[in-house]
Amino acid sequence: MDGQREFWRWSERSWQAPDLDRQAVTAVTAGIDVGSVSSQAVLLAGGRLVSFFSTRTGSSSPDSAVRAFKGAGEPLGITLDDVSYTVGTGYGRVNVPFADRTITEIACHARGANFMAGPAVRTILDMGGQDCKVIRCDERGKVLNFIMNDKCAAGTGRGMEVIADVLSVPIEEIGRRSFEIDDEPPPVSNVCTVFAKSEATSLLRAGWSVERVLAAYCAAMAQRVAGLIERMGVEREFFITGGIGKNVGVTRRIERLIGVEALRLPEDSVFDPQIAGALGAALFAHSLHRKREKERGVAAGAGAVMPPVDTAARKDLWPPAAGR
Amino acid sequence: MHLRIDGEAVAVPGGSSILDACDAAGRYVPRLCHYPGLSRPWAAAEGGGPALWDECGLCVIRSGDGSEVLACATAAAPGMEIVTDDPELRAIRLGRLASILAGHPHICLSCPDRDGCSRDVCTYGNAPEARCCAEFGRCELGALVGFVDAALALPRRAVTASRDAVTEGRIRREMGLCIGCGRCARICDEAPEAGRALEMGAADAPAAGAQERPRPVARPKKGTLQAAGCTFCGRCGPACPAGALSTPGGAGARRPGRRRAGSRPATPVLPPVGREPLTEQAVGAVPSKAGVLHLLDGAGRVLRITGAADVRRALTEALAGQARGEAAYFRVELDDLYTQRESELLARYAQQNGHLPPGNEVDDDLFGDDLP
Repeated sequence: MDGQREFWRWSERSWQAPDLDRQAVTAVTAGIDVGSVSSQAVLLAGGRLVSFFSTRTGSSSPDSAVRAFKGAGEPLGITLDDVSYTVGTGYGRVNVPFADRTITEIACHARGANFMAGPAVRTILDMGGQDCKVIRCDERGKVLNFIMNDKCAAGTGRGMEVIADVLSVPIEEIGRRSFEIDDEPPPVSNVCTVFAKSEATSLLRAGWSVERVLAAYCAAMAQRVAGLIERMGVEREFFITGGIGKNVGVTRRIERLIGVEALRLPEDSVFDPQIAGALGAALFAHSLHRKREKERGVAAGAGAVMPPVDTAARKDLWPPAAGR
Repeated sequence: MHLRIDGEAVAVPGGSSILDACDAAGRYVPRLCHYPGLSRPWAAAEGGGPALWDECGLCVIRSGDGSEVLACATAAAPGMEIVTDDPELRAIRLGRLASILAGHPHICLSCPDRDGCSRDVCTYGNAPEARCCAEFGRCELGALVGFVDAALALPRRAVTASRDAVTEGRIRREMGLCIGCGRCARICDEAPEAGRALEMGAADAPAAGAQERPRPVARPKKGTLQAAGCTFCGRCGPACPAGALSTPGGAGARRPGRRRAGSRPATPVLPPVGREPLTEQAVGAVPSKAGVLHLLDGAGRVLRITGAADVRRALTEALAGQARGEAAYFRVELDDLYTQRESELLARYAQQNGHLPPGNEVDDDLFGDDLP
């Protein structure tokens, strides 16, 4: 067995708008999502997506927030001084030292998903590092209702990382390889992250292929989540965010179980389902910044107010342009 | 007969106690020793005999002349003006509750797994003698503490007690948990189908550091329930507010026989979810710790659910902004993982109500398309 390789480690992801005129980048707002497993930073300039970065949450939430921001800002030469407004979100939202305001990850995910996948989205499944939420929202991405799983990491991103390590399969290949099977095995009976190792080992010993074990595990995870979705009910369109949203082994099986296909981003989309929370936070930051500017303008008696660029920005971005 | 309770007119039959009148009016007044259909605990003392034990004293209310009286022990009179809740009454109840909790394991009340736990092992490493009991999450005492002390002014400590348990028939006794309310002994004496097998007796040894005389505990009159003549009617278990007596696996230890079917257990009045008035005094009693707070309006509707690193500070801010909002009450629970707990409580609220609390809605003007 390869003792050196960390199979659970998913790659950090970084994206910057191509052909960006650094001088034109003004009114920068930031959204920082410090989750239990991953942290993301999204930067907007005048409501337009210019950069994002996704990394692992370290032992210190404030450090993770700073690291995520630097990952997004440094390639463009953007520092904290250039940022007009920052919104923190995620379970570690209170540990974003430079945040002007915090907003719950529920509100941010809905807003981010709405921006990413369009205003038709009504039901969002957010599969995070240590929990799972089903969010119902309106056409503006405003939360109407939501439901979350209990205090258990089974069937979440962290659980998938453990499986990757146990089976020595790079985490980004799990989804694809879980379909390299002849017939769908029954789901594993226990998705408990703690018992995953012994369960997987005993299946391998019983002659199962790695792919078959992956399929059984993905199916069990999908089953757990499908139960949650059914409790809330699915209203179209349905969209999946969060790290597990990138694992087709789980998402396809969820679609099969609930009988509804999730909205897919275009092949050339720059968006990553994992940044939905930070994107929503950045959009709120943009609105909050504009609101503050307007209040200041009113207070100073000035008539000039920033033009509303958000709607136009979405039109520019939708459908999202290809990445670098 | 008509009287007024907290300003509201109530009509009750003659012979009612003030507590009966409060129940009829839907005004919960905390009580532990009182149980519907039973005599008062210290009736013997009034008949000239020695008081066997102290009443719980939690049902203290203020009568029309301003005096503090026990609602269960005072007859309602026409035209009475009753106040069931004011800062002094709250302080008295807190003091009495503190002495009851001093001898009863109650770390369960601050357990982060309050929503459910297999109880196979204690994740939080509490000593077996201090741990939760089989009634975890559903005992009357816990609900009562939440009602009387919604501000968490009393520290939830790891109190230890003997946890030896005896099961006879389907009646389980864990007398280390007894708080001495005397309900079971009175039911056993007064219910027609019961066997007069239980009595209240002195606790074996006073709790370490106890300043008052120890509360008595319930015990069989002879060594075992069976020897004492227990009929195993199972009436005592459901009446116990503290998990000391229980009937695991059923409402009754044994189905009462046909000839006993005439006697039906009374329906107790249970504590509603507690709340404290959003006042400087009440907020001052809240610990400066991480947790989640609920803000409620005058009618008890939830306005906002917010996690905070320091719940007292967050409440102080809410108090400062009170003029602008409509918050009138609050309650808190402590939890170090307060952002996660906030989400859990929001999810529960949303499931029950179909929407988020009004104060948790993101302002409409933060959605891009609505920008002017």
